[in-house]
Parts: sequence; structure tokens; C-alpha cells
Amino acid sequence: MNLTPSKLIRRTHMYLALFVTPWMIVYALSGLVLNHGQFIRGFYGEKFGQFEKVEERDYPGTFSADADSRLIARQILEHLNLTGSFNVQRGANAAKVIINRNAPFGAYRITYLRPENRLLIEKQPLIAPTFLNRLHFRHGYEQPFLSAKSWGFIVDLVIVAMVFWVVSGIWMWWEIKPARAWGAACALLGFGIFGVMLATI
Amino acid sequence: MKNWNLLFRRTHLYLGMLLLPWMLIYSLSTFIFNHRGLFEDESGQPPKMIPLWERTCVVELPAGGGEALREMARRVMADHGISGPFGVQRQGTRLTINVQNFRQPLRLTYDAGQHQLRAEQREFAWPEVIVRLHQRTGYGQEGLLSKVWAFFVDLFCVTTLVWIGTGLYLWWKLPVTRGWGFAALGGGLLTILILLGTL
Repeated sequence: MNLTPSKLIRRTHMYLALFVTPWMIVYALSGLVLNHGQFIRGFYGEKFGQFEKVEERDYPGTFSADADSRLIARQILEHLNLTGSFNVQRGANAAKVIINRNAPFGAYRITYLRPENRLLIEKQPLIAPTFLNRLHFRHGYEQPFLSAKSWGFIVDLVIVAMVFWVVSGIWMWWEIKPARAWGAACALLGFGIFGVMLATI
Repeated sequence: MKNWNLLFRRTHLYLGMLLLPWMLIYSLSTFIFNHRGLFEDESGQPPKMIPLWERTCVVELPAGGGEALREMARRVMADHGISGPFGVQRQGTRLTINVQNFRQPLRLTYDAGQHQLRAEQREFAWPEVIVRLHQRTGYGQEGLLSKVWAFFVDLFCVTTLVWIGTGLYLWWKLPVTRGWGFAALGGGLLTILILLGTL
């Protein structure tokens, strides 16, 4: 196969797009959800984004006074078979430690009541908008889990793909002579509208 | 059919040319989100607020929140020659109005006890501008340009789906690329399914 630079750019443009298609669908749909948040909230009513109680139970473990809040959270999540990405809202010495377990198919909120040694487990019901938004907001390499770091890496790949689509798209546009005028007009219009909005709002 | 092929190619291309700035902004801002630590100083705080002025201002705080509060904020802004999309919140006798702006947002703080209105502006920083461009969504704000921005957010999202649809069509029309194309598409689907199951 004769792989010219032009063909290499076209193929890379396409194969990168095919690989990241699922993420682009997620970002496009969740973008629509975020842009029409009021309508979506109205559609689902008061229960939108609310947590529902799953159970309340005793927690058999104890922690030393100097235990780190993330260590406490990690141990509780392991106990509940909910290991995975999480964040903690309160300090370790607070009477209440709130653990947010951000799983794709349902976010859990676990409240650890230290004096009583009890756990309150709540879950956000799975609905499409919150599922999409959770995936939209997931990023970074801070979480100490392979799957979370892999997601962060894919987010970087999406960034590389987007920048590559811009550069290769301009290259391909320039190669199609009959499309130069209309392509330039579209780009000028886009940059013009964008510039006006950046300068004014 | 040649005409469909051409139509899809041109739609794919011209929408891409139109939305170049948004594509760049969303990619750059996503890089900032994904590598936040690179863009934060040691304190982890956003750029500081620069004091602009402090004036005497006498307005009655409304009893309720919601639209009454927004109306009052609108009046305070108009009295001081400020316009634009905003958010307002009340904490006791203190009212905070955040006036959105991509480059340098404004914060108005009204102390009803002291009858003082303070204006501060966020220090300019490119990473913050790019992040704000990413985060601005919705049709809820007044002003034509705010709604035009929301329309372009919609257009970008719908266009992304159009790029996917036309891209899949154009890929299918190139039989020599089907093998590797299936591998790329299948690899992506498999990866996201594995990650969704394990995250």
C-alpha cells in the first residue's frame, strides 16, 4: 500500500475517531443534558439527583483517632464491597465522615457516624442524565485505581484526537480545492462569532 | 450514491471549520481539567479578586429568594451601570452577585447592615478563561449573546453526533479500511465497557 503523508493523516484522523467514538457520544449527549439542565430537572421532578436510603447498619471496625479520612473511607468501602473511586467530605476526626463513591451506574453516599459506629448507605437512582454527567465529569489521575487512571488516560487521548482533528481537518480542507472558499467562510464565521462572544459576555 | 457521499463529506468538513474555536477550547480546557495540578499554584486557590470600588448603596433586601432576589440584583447592577448574565446568593444580610464574564468575572458584595456595595474583579488568567468557556452552558440567562452561546453549545453537541454519523458512513464507503476500522471501533467499545464495569 502506498501510504502518502496525506493518506496517513486521513487514516489517523479516521481511526482515532473510531476508537474514541463511545466517549464522543457520551460527551455530546451529556453536553446536551448540561445545556438543558432546567428542562431535564423539570422532567424528572424533585427526585432528580436525590439520594435514596438503601440501608443503615452497624460498622464493626474502629479507627484510631489519627486515622486518615481516606484510609477510613477506603476500609469502609472495602467492607461494603464498593471499592473504587471516591472522595471524602469531612475530616477524619469529625463525628460524621461522608464518603462519595462515584460509580458509573450509581453514585453511593455513605455516612459514617463515628460515635455510634453506624453506616448510613444511600444511592442515587440510575437515570440516563446523571449517568452521562458522571462520565462527563470523570477525569484526572488522582484516584489510586487502575481503571480510574485508564479513564484519565483515555481523556488525554480524546484531547489528542480533538487537536489532531483540528490540524488534520485544516490540512484536508486545504487539499480539497473546491471546498476552500466555503471552508474559509465557515471558519471565519465561527471565529468571528466566537471572538464577539469572548469579548462581550 | 455519489451525491450522498459528497453531501456527508462537505457537511463533515464545513461544520468542522465552523466549530474550530469550540473544538480547540473544549480540548484545551479538558487538558486543564485532566491535569489540574499543573495549573494551580501551591495554595490551590483560583486567581485572586482585584478590588474595584466600594460605594454606599441603600436597597431593601427582599423577603423571599428566587426571582425577587434576582430582580433586586438586577436593579443593583443597573444602578451601577453593570449588565450581563449573573447568579445571586444571599447569606443573612449579605448578598453576593456573581456577574459572569469569560475574561474577568465580577463579584458584587452588598452588606445590607452597612449599606455598602463592594465590586471586585477576578484577575485575568488564560487557563481560567478557557475553563469558563468550557463550563458556560444553558439558556437561563438574559441577553441575546448568552443564548447564542448556549445555541452554539447545542450545535457543537449535535454536530459531534453528526460527525460520528457521517464519519461512520464515510469509513464504510472505504472497504480497504473496514478491517482496521472495526478493530478501532471495537477496541474503543470494549475499552469503555471494561472501564464502566470496573470504575
